[in-house]
Amino acid sequence: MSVGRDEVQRIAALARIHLDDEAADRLDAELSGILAHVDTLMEVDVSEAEEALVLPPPIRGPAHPGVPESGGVFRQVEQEVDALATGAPGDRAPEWSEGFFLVPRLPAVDGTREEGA
Amino acid sequence: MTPPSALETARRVRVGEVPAHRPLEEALARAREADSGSRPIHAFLSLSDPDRAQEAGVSQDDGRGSFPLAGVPVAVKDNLCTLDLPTTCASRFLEGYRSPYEATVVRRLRAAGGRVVGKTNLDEFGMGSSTENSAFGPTRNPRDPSRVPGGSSGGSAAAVAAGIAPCALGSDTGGSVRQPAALCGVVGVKPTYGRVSRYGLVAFASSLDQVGTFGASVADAALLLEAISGHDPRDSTSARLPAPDLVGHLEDGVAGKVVGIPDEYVPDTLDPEIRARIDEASRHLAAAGARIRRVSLPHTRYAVPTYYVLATAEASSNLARYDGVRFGVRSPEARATQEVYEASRSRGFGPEVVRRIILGTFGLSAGYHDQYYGRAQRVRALIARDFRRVWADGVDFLLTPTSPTPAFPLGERSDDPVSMYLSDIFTVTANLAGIPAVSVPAGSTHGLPCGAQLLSPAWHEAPLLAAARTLERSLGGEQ
Amino acid sequence: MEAVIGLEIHVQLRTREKLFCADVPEFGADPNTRVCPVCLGLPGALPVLNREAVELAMRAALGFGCTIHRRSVFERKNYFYPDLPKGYQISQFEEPLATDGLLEVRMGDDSPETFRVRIRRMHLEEDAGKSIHDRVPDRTAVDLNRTGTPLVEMVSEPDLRSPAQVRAYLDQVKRILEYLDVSDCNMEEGSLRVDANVSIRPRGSGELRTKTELKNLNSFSGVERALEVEIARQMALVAAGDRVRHETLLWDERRQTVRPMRSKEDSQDYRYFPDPDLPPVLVSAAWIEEVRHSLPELPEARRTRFMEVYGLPAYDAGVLTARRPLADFYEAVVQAHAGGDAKEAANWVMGPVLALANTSGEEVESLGLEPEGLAELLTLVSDGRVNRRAGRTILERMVASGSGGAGAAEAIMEAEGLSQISDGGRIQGWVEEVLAAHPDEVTRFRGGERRLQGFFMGEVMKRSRGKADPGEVARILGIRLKGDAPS
Repeated sequence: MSVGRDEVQRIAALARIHLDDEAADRLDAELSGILAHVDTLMEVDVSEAEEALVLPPPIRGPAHPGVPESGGVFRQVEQEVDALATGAPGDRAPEWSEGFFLVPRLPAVDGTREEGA
Repeated sequence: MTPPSALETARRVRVGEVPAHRPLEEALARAREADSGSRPIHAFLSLSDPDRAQEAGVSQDDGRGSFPLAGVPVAVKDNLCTLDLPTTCASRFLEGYRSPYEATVVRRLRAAGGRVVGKTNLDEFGMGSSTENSAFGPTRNPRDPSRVPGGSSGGSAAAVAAGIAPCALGSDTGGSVRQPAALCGVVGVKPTYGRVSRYGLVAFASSLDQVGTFGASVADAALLLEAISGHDPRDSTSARLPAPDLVGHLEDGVAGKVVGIPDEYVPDTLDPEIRARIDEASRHLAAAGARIRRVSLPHTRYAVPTYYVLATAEASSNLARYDGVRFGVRSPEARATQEVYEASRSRGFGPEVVRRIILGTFGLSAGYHDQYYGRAQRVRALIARDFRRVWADGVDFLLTPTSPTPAFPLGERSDDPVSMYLSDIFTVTANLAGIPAVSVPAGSTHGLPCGAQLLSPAWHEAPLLAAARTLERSLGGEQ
Repeated sequence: MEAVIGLEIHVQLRTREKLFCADVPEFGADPNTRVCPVCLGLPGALPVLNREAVELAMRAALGFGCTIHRRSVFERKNYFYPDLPKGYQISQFEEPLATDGLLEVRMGDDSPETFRVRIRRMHLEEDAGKSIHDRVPDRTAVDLNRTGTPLVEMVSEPDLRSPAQVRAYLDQVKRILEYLDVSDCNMEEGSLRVDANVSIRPRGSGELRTKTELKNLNSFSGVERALEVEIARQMALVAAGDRVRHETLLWDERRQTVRPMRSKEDSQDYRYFPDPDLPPVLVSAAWIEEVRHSLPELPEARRTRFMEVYGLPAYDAGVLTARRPLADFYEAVVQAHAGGDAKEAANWVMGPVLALANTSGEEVESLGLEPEGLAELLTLVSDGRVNRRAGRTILERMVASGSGGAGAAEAIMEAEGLSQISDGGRIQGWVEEVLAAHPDEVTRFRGGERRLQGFFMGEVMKRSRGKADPGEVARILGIRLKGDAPS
């Protein structure tokens, strides 16, 4: 199936990737090729597919005595924070001041959360 | 000049024949040597400085005591976090990035006495099958430097193939350890999903990624795998199992085992030389007491498209954190926050990464979600079921080629994504099903290394590697 | 026309650690000091679920009558925002922890009128950080301390019909959450957040029309006010023949208006998919039962019990059960004051004790006043050993000195000589003195100015330095004032 340049741009915007027209056209062509390949999935009879695959695979059998049956996986009480071994969070930040990460100002009012920045 | 095996090195260090720091020094010298000359291998993006490592917070034993990897130099793929060396994932975005913590597997290899030689080259963020997608230049195949080493763990495979280190860590999402192992003529293992911790492995596709090991021999790959395996409470997908005993079972042999060869993996279109190598391998296994059978895994032909929908979907989400806010390279011209994201990401990511993010975002987006992501999840379950049926039918291992072609020339495939994706055709199924698999050198085709792949049920790494060892031994490999 | 309102409430759980990592959050901590690779979204980091968060979420869900699902799934909600480090929020979508709850809401403390609100779902998710826009010129400052804190999102069906109902609902939700001890429920600190969905329709029509979403609501009264404004706005639109547009509106507290959000709404495609880093959350039937049995008596039930067992009127029962520590305190007093009057105890707690609490800015349970101490004081009063006014004085001393336990009341009474004088002879003496000192007033009283009773009472109390038993004084005054006037 052909996706089209506009659709590619819409998807790119969702992913915060900037594409000029030429790049968008090229991606459109490549995507169409890949999707033609992927569309073979439509022929599969999925009615018998169980629920999504469980991973890691269940551990069964006498080879693994004493292994608890899979249940909730919770954090162990003694687990420490992997404290930032080298320096502060700001050390790696492109822009940092007085303990805050900085980005160009969002067009928003304090206290609001306007998603989609 | 090839270094001694990991097993041998560790033994010598433990008994005091060799000081613990010497093997690393020699490995570093060999690494520099491999990059001098007209066709540098370029396996490494960074090399250790043992004097500086401690400053960075690396804790290393002193070499005395019974450490399984005492003194053994290990190459580490540059998508595994280390304290003393950058972790770039071969991406401009992470150029110079210093992780504040170490990956569990790196901590464990150091705790076992192993020494990190350096960080190896890869396809950016693990996306690729040739290591040509690295932002810092490709790696060359030591067996033929005009050709690719495979990918994405091409640097680690090359480091072992070039004799720089006896073993290496890589990551395998769709074949990224096994395929370069096959192309470079070394051993590569992908464990059962959940066998090895992913904490500190920079995620590409979380339900498919596993850390894998390379070795010049099955024994070395097994030794390293043992050292890094086992439950990690920091990884919720890590299985509650201790590290398995692999080295101890290597000589168990294959007597009485059933080896299946799936029809779908030896199609009529398969390169006749590769087919011949697989036939030989099956004869060797039969001679060692195994029974050979033909089997079928009917959903195999849907594996590559399934993989590419699911892996790219997960990747598109995993790579959203690269926004230039907290770390990484930020584009200086951006004025609005959205521009910061777009500019930093577009500048920082190479074309293959962009391609996969777009494809993955597409497959998850409203209107396409069920048709692509939803459907691929269900086909994945069917692929896994194909394997379970074969095991239930009495089969212990499957034997297949690892790669449909030997190493191809640098630059030959880089413009055709679909043909590049099809390199993974024999390897993705193991990731989709979560089962372990190993590639063992099995002679050559067209003068280039060829790999035979063995797969087994989940958690059966010990018998799997015993079978690999049997093949290795009878094909004339390491004693 | 009627309003159709649904609420989405985000409750911050008061777990010790964050939802997926071991950081210990603290309100007001220095920025970016309660962070780690996991909540910073650094390359290679992975989430691991906090069991305490699941337990508190289950308590909350059971408190609202929800069904807890043995299996629930974390999904990734993908979008970009500077205080969302991973570029996705781990939440629950198709398979939430709990669904199908029900809350019976009372309109006011002494109102018999109730209405029902169905709870559609309650699920777990991680909080994002804070973006501060006005701190640095031209820049948005990001603090990630709050990132990864556990939230329960509680979504109601659109069963609310007025801002007043919304207010009652919110008050009750907060009360229940506080009883359950799962959250600080403080809107000012952000541990409770409310968004509202509102539409209007012909009364009783049953259809659901286009709704708007209200955000940036910072207090319960702000919610009420914003809804009033928005409902009025929608009514006006429809009356003018216009249609209501589906949009997200921000409440401007300062201007008391709503305005549309500026960002593009159409780009919100969250691309939910199950988080491959987290296995499904599995809770056993045994665990659910354990949590159910550990729930405290909920506010409504406690209120009813106070009315039935202690004979309290609805209003009193409502006030005393407004907060669990207050209800606990009251009950402890009643229990310590065995054989005493529960209504008396209620009066004292709701009256002087609460007043002292308000003045000092403390809660009743933190005043330093112990239930046994108050019970003893009540006994002193009911035994007639001190009068009410002296009793209040003793109470103040107990609180001020910080020693409000057993024995304190009696000690203060002795030390300050506050015991009441009921000796008829002495009181008679004071009454005679007062009447003798004010013959004109006596005449006027006998002439019909009954009001002067208060004056005489006051004079006798003064002469007794406030210690006379007022009941006795009144009785003796009554006799003497009736009698023949002495010349």
